Amino acid sequence: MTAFIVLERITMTYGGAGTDTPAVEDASLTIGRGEFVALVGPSGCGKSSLLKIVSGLMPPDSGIARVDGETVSRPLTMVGMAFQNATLLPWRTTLENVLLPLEVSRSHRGSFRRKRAEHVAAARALLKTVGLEGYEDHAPYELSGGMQQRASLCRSLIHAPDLLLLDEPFAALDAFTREELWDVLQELWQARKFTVILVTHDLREAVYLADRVYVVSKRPGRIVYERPVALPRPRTLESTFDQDFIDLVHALRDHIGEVRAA
Amino acid sequence: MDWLTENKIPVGKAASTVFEWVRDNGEVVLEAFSDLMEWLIDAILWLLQTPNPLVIVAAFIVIAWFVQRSWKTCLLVALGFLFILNQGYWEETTESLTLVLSSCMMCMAIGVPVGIVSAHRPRFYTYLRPVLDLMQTLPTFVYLIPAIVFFGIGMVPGLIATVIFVVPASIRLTYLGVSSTPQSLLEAARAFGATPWQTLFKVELPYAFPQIMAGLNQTIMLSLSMVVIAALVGADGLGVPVVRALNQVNTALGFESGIIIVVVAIMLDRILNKSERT
Repeated sequence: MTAFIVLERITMTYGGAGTDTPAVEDASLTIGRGEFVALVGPSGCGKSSLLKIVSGLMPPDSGIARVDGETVSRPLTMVGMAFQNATLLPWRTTLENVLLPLEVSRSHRGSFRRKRAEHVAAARALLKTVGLEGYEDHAPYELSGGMQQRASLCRSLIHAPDLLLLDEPFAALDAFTREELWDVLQELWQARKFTVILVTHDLREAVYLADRVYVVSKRPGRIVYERPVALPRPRTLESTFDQDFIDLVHALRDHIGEVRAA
Repeated sequence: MDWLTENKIPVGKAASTVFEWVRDNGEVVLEAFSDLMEWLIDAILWLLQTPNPLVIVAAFIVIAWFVQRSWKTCLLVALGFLFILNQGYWEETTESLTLVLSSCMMCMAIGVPVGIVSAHRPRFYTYLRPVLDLMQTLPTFVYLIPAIVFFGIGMVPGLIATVIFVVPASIRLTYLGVSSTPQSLLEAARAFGATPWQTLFKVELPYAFPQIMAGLNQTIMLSLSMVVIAALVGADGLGVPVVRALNQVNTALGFESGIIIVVVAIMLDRILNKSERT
């Protein structure tokens, strides 16, 4: 598998080097194209900071982040991002929210204006695949938390990004909705094969979705453990009760226990 | 103690020197500005005074309907204007409305951009804030004087004094709205590759819109409160009979015109105040 994302010895401190305990320290990892990777770790361990560095929203103090062979120095346009909060714009309808990245991103703006109808149709189709058909023209506040998060997922995928960055996107949802969205995400990923980095502190979520799981230590965040997940796909909720699945979660659980105690 | 009183710090003198220098050296700019203001005032005045008063009243009722969607507000506006016509203050009312409208346009034109810049540059706002405080707390009579020095007597100095008093409100509220945009929304916009301008127009301004509208509302009400003071420098409008009544100790005239101002204030407030809507 070719390396798509390379992080080399990244160190990052909020407020600049030397002012505080680093949020991320000496973190290196390599992710292949089309791979689904999960970062797990205790809260406040710098997982989100790693995502921001990859996306170019924040520069590292030292180290290099490369995406698709190029050093990241400003916000990337070929990524999609979804956050813990759906962050939909309240004055736009669901459909308009989903279309937002097309309106703003440099690479799609022109084609969006020329072929608006096509893009709108694509957005509707995407909303349909996540089960939001019929809610296109509703305002975000009319949607439930899970539906908002679905819309947010659509928004991060509408411009067909090569890289999807997910920052605890399901953390604020109830368990049933969360598991439903796992399947939604898995389906989308299997259909489109983009690269995903998922930040989460839910171990079952990490094992369910990812090809590879990295465990990040508590502050300063370092990558302390890497574990491939070789379970067959598509994974189903039923399979989460298999011994293989449970063993994997247990193994990760032990490592998290270690980094928390350390 | 003697030393203290003998060495008076020349605050007043410095101010007058500055104003005189500006008057002597900025004539071209001041005159162009004054002409522009006069043109604006004349245009609005023409718009309000040329048609039959009832047409204007109808227009205001339509506006009230579109903003509030309440027949009660429309009725109130209708009754208010009919009372003004009945009392014979139509001309003064249109003049005052002109002052309010033009001051409101200027305040939004200045206040919204300055508010946005302030929200983006906190350092700039720390310098601006004492200036805004000064503009709002300095007794308004005081800056009538330089207004006369620069623009003579008439509508323009009245408008300038009004704008100086009112513009801090629209700056502050725009600042408040833009700077309170949630960080998560801004980050999301950046993550999609939005440029600063796109973030401004697609995220910050829509988010700040209710605050900016609250600023517009305040601008109008504060401008109306300056009507009487503007009359002191020769601005036409409802302030003129108030000032005349004060000079002649004419109770009847004073109350008549005073109540008309109150009626105008109530009507404008009810038309604009969205929160009153049920």
